[in-house]
Amino acid sequence: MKTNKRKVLILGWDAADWNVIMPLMDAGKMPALRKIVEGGVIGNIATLDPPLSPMLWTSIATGKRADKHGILGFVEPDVNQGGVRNVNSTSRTTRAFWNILHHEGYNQNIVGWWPSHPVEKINGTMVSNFYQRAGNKPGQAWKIPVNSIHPHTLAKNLAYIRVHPAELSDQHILPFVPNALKIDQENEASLESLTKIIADTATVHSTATYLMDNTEWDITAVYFDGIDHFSHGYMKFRAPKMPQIEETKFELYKDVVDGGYIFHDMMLETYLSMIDEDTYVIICSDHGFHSGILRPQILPKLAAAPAMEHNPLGMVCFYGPNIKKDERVYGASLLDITPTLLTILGLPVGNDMDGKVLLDIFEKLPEINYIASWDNVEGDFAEHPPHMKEDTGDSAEALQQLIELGYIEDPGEDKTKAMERAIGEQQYNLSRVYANASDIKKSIEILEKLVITAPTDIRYNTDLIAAYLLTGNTTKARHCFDVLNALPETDETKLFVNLDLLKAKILRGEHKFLAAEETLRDMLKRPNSSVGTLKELGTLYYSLANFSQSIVAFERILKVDPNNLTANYGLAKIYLINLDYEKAADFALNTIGITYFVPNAHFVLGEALYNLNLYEDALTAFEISLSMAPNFLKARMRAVEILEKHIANKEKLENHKRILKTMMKGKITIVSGLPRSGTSMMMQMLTAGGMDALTDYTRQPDSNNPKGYFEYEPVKLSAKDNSWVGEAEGKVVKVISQLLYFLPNDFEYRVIFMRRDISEILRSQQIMLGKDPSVYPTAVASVFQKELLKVEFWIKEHPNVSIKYVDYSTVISNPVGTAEEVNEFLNNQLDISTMIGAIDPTLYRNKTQPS
Amino acid sequence: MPSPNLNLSFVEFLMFFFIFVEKFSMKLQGKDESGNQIEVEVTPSGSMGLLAMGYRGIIIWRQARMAAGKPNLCDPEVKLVIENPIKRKTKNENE
Repeated sequence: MKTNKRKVLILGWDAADWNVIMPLMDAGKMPALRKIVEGGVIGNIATLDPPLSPMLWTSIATGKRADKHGILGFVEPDVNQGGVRNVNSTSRTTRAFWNILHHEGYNQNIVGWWPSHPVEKINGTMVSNFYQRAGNKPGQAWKIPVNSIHPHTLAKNLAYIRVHPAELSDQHILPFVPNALKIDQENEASLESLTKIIADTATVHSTATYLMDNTEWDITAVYFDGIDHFSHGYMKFRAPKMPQIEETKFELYKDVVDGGYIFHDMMLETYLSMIDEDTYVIICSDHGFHSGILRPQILPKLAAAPAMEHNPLGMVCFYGPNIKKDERVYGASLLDITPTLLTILGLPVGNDMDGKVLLDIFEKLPEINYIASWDNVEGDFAEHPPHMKEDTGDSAEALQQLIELGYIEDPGEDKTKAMERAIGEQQYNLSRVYANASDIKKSIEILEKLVITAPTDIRYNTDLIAAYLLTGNTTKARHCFDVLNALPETDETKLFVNLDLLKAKILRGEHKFLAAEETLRDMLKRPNSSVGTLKELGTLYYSLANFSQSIVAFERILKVDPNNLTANYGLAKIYLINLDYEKAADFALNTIGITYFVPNAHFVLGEALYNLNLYEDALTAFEISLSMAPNFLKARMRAVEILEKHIANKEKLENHKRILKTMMKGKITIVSGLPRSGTSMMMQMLTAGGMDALTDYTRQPDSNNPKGYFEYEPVKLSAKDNSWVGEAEGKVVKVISQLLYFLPNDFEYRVIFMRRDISEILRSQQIMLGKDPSVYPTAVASVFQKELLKVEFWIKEHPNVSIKYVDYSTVISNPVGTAEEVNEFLNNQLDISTMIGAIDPTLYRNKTQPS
Repeated sequence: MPSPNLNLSFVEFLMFFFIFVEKFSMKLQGKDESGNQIEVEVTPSGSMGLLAMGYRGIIIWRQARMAAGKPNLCDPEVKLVIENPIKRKTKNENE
């Protein structure tokens, strides 16, 4: 039962975005929100993918991703009528906060939440999202949808205070469209849709205010779709004028969106006048809405295409007795609202919730309790009875079976197709949920089934390319690309796939860096080159260790999109490598501010702080990173290092060390370098010195390598299968530099990297290939130089790799000194005399002559 | 300059003054910035400010429409019912 009397008002403003709000607040046009901002904590809130509102608002209400809550899109198969219907609350497969609070004895008003139809019989009132839309002609009866109000006895009280679009006058229209009288309303439906949005919003608001005034409540939660609808309808007309918008329409509608925000602020003022000082207020959106240069000019004719207008960052505010004043919170996600709400109320947070408690918002840290899962608690949660809870996918299939068996009438081809499309769409959305949660394997499983049903679907193929590239399967990614590329030019959906960008990404995945660069450079020459192109180019240059060009690309992005995650994170990593730790820390903090759940960004921050000798803060950053990714080996090793050398905390140290020990399977010695750089010679030295080598002697000695190659055939297939690595524990194995990147992270590698003059290497290779050694292959030399830079970069990123560079010429000129250094590097386990005996200076052919 | 014609004076009114509604009359009483008692008449055309007030504003607006002989375009079959209202103190009343 309820143990305290805290009250909370939650206002959901779908699609609200700080980029629109801030200028309005600065101009004094959102004074109510300004009170919240100045008296509370505000921040960005990261949306989830796919950014579809019913899924997102259910994540807000449950603290869980859609794979756990079961709401998978706007529509679902209609098991009763056939065809499709708007998504229903019966499809939710986990308890929302109102179920939990009902169980705990709270009185609640839940109004308009999407989806909340049919209503659940909670303590208090629930008015569903089907309630506000007027379905009648003016002056006729406006029926209240069945199951849209609980308790239904309230219907007679609420019906009178609804607002019908036909009631609205010029007093309601002109604030949004000052020149509305110039519109030809016979041929222009824009004012009709505007009045519907205003009326729907006003009905939700009047219902909520009535309930707040006339019921005893602890929690009131009100969802508004007004800002989202104003934005989808009219954001394209907002200043700055978009090129495709006619001047006359721009002048007519440019104020609509801002008017919508101001209207919401006016409503907020009313709410603030209705609550007491002890009431907490939470205002949040589910995503933002692009309002400037990032607005798409055209939307494809694809399902859920309007979501392309959404900004991945929405807004969130907290205000109340124990909330900090005039502060910012970083790293909030939609998933955090319910855990934070439960903590405000002193209730335990479900361990199965994907979100976290936003501790930084509180003046005095509250006690946080946890429970395994609220779904396992027995008792009255005011849920729908079991017969109403249907797995829509299964039910739809059962319906189809009944149709085929002739038990019920076929609802018609269109309905059947609509139902199939709805199921497909739900599955597609689920694949994106998995991808968003980094469960790429599950995402691919779904997409591969979907693409069988629609082999040329651009969304399935595009998403598959991204997923395959993440898993390193460039062959399959290339296949999907070929499918899209072969679509006829007349296929209008093809216009919305940036094939060149996909091609560049695949080329990068295939390590064809120069071709990728060429493709992207060509794209940049075209007008309207996208942020996406710059992101890929910046990422490519980064992987090539061409940091100056990478910085140029990322900084160009930040000029138009300061909150771009890729650019901020890319710059953080580059400045870390360039040893500019302050800048690295700044950009890492930016990254975390945009999206908190990026373990790598916390690691980069930790590295920067570590190098600035800020060990406490660095340890915190590494531990946050580990809280998100417990198997993050590099962060764990750094944490151990800090606790061993700089901060005394025995308990923490032992804990990190224990975990580290279980993570590290063993040590492996690698001899690496470019082909013909002296790797075989070093293998001879080490085996002569007493080490066991992993080799199968498949490649026999020849005139180029008379003492043998010391190779192991499975190593050559590492890009596809690196399972051989376990065989190398405690041994030495030869791995050429191009294959180092495929080594798994769960081993500790000691790499002896052979260096040799590039011209010598190339001459040796030319001879080995039977080519003219006097010809100098410039392009190959360039690639090799970049490869060496790439290796250096790779090593910097891998603390589980320690490296010893050995110059081939130095081995010849200083055999003892080199052998001693190598022996020390390998913890003095080798016999120096036998090592140097393995060096044969006569094999130092193709030597560059001093000029 | 967004929404130049938006009824901002009403917003400011809502911001700073207590809105007193008695028996759903067609007038709003309050105080201006100088503390003087003022009365705002509600016209049948309504306003964004009335919508922003919530149910109280809508009731007042409907009354004004009825008094002016305007038809009920929302739903002519429903009547105003406020059963057992709980008298809740607003923030201003608390002060």
